[in-house]
Amino acid sequence: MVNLAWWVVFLPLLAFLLISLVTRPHRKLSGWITILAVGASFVLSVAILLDMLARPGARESAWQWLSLGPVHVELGVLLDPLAAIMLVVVTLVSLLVQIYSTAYMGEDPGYSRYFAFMGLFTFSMLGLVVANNYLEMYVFWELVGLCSYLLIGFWYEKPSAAAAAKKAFVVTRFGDFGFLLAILLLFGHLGTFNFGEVAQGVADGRLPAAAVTAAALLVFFGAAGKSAQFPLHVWLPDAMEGPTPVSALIHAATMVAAGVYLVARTYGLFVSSAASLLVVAYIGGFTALFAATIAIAQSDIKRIVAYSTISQLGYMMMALGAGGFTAGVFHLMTHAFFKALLFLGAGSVILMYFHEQNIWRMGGLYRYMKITAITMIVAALANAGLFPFAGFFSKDEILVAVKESGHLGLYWIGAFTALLTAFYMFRLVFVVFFGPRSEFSPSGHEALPDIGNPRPAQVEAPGAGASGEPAVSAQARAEADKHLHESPAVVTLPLMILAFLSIVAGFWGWPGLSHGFGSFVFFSGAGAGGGAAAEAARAAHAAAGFDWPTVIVSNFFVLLGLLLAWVLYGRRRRAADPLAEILGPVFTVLEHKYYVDEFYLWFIRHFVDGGAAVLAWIDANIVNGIANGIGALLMGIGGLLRLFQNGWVQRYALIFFIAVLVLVAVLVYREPALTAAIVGGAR
Amino acid sequence: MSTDQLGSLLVFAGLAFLVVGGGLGVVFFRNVFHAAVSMAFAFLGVAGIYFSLQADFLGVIQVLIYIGAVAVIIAFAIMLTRRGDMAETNRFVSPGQLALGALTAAGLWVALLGLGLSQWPGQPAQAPPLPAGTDLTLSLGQLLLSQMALPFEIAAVLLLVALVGAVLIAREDHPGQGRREQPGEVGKS
Amino acid sequence: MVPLPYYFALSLTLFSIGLFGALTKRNAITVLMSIELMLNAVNINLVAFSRFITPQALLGHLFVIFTITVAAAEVAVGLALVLTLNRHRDSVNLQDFTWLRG
Repeated sequence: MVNLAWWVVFLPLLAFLLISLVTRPHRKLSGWITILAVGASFVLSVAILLDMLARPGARESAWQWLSLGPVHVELGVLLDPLAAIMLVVVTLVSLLVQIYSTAYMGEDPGYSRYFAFMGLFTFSMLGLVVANNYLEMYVFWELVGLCSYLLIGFWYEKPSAAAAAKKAFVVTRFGDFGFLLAILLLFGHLGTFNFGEVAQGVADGRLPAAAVTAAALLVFFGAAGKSAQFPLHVWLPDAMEGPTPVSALIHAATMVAAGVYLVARTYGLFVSSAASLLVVAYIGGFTALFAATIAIAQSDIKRIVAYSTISQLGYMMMALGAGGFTAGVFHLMTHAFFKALLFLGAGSVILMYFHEQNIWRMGGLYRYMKITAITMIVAALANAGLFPFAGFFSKDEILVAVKESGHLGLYWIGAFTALLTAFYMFRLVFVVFFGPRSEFSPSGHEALPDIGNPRPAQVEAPGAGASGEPAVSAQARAEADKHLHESPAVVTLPLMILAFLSIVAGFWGWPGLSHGFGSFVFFSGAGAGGGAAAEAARAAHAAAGFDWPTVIVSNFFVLLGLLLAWVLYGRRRRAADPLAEILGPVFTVLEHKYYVDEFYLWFIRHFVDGGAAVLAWIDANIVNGIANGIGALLMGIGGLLRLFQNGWVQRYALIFFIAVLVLVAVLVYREPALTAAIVGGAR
Repeated sequence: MSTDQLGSLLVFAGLAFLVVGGGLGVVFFRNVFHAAVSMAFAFLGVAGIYFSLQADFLGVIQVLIYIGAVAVIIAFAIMLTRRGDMAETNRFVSPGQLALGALTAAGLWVALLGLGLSQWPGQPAQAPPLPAGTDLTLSLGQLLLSQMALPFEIAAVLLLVALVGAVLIAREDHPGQGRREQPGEVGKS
Repeated sequence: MVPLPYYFALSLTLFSIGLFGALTKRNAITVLMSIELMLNAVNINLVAFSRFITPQALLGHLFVIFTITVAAAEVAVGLALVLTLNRHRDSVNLQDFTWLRG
């Protein structure tokens, strides 16, 4: 079974190589190659998961990669329930997104390139999932970051996309640096990169407590970069410049979950350091609330979903920080389904609605795209966490875990965020799918030709009219409506599959289920064994039922949020956000995402650039002075020697023969004996 | 001094005059073509020296190669590079280099002559007589084709390479472009 | 046959003349001719010493044969270079060819 995992990982890479080296000119073929490869990977992943379900436990297979004296670096595969779940989630979402992409990217000139990158990304993500040591994971971690860069900047002719790609890369790279430091720290103390050995070493107390905390926090810093946790969250909303399927795959279901996965994979570190757990929990909780408040004031459909993603990732981190290993991973899985669905649904709307992304230019789309609308509503309910959708079960588990850990403040933050989540999700649903068509809706004529090359996302003031654009005439809108229809089957099929999963996936985590999620994926302490701990966890999980107060609280908050959304947006007549008037200046702050980007820019401009200017002065005047002094000295010496190098062969020959003359003179008049020995003389 | 010695001394003096005069002519003639002719005379003198040293084969080779080949291709080279008046084609360089060059050559002459005369003071005055029936050319031929066969072959390869290299260097850079058009070839390119 | 130092002196004189020419003539062809003179001077020495000291070993003669071979090769390549330079730079003056100066 472990050897199958190699195939799972390398098939998408094979697709990438095949497309980029051979089949790039053949668009359709290139698409099918990736879909076929990822499909095969999916089937194999399911086989691995079934095997894992039948015989739970960690299996490892490694191959010596580098051996430098005492340093041994392996390239290995580590399969355990956590990895098996992730494999299936990644390959499934990747497969669905790629099927979807055949329609979404159908007109794009970079179609083959797109699928090649998708293959490369899937390969990197799967490699990250199965990695059995820190260094290997780091390699794939960076590869994933590279793919993210390539795909966000897919439409690189667009300056905003190129800038967003750069931003994403730099910000996540910032976090990666922390991860790298953590790896070096652990290696320095324990002399190994292997996850199991490191966890064992930490459990045996071979690492000072301070080092454990430092390593855990550094790992978390890396995870925060990839998972867009505050304060490194700024790249994710900008990453929406990429094609929507990319957002669905990378920035909703898989890559951003890599941070959560990393924390889960190295959980042994965190449980050994209470301080780091606390940091993880509070950063997660804060991010969840923070991003949710921003989401309620956004007007770009993809950005709303993006902030929702950040918020949900915050939930997962909070769960892990509160000791809810199972809850965090479970939410990671269910979230992958409904968030991918949200993005794909948003993409379906964008694709059919003249590449418009501003929700205030939409409205009443339910009539034209019923499947998209219904699946989006399912996803919104799942995201909000209403019984019996998938999000309910995982979010409920998180809240229970937080409650059991005793962080009551976090518990209420979590509950209140659930209200906000329901509110912003249904704000989106009501504004986009119901109510009257916006008077600012695009007429379609000017937008239609650039399908496949969408224009930059228009993030404007809520209520498109605020930008002073004239309303489009009713006649033009009626004309445009004739072009409106449901997306093709390759788009709606993945939507329906994901909607189905968003409904049923949660039931696996039904509390008290004898073979539920909790008895499959759990943290069993250090090392690969832990048979007794496993039995205990299984028993504990089987005994637990619903935590009724939490169920009631969370569902109450969700319904309240839903109701609020309906009151504000369900019966609106105009394309303007009533919330802006209610909240006043607060709304402006939210709309500008708390000015975090502006703060970063200000900070960089004043402090980083200032420091750089000082260093530049030192470099230019002192360091360069020394360097130039040495250079000038050598130039002087060279200038003297240069007199001899005048390029005129006869001068060279002259110098040569003068030297011969000197040599002969010395021989004859100073060394007659030597001369006699050389010349021999007549005997 | 016997007549025989006097005769050989006279022959040597004549040949030395030819050699040194020819050499000086190469350096001091103003017309490079005259210098080349002068050089041919110096080569002829050297060939005579070889004969006087009983190196008959080398003397023949000297005439064939130096006068027959080298002097002729130098004459060709002069023709190919000539332009305008030939009268001032063989001038000296700038005075500084000229003075230093003259000093160096003279100094080397003095130093080496002193060295030679001090090490071999008039000795050996007489060359050992060759045994009767000695055929140096035959011995040389046998040596070249037996013991020295490998260097001989290498020298042959060297000549071939040098010839090919010379052709490669001297031909026009862009065949068909800078080439002089042959009659009947016009318009082909 | 005159004594060996006579040949040596003649050889040395011819060599010095050749050296003087090689160092002080402008025309590249004359320089090549001067180098030929120097080679001939060496050949005279080789043959003379061979005759006087090892009259039957013939090694001096062999060296002369190889020297002549190399000299022929040298003059062929040298003149080819001169011709090419003349074609491209319109000059045979060695002082015009100093592009390799440092």
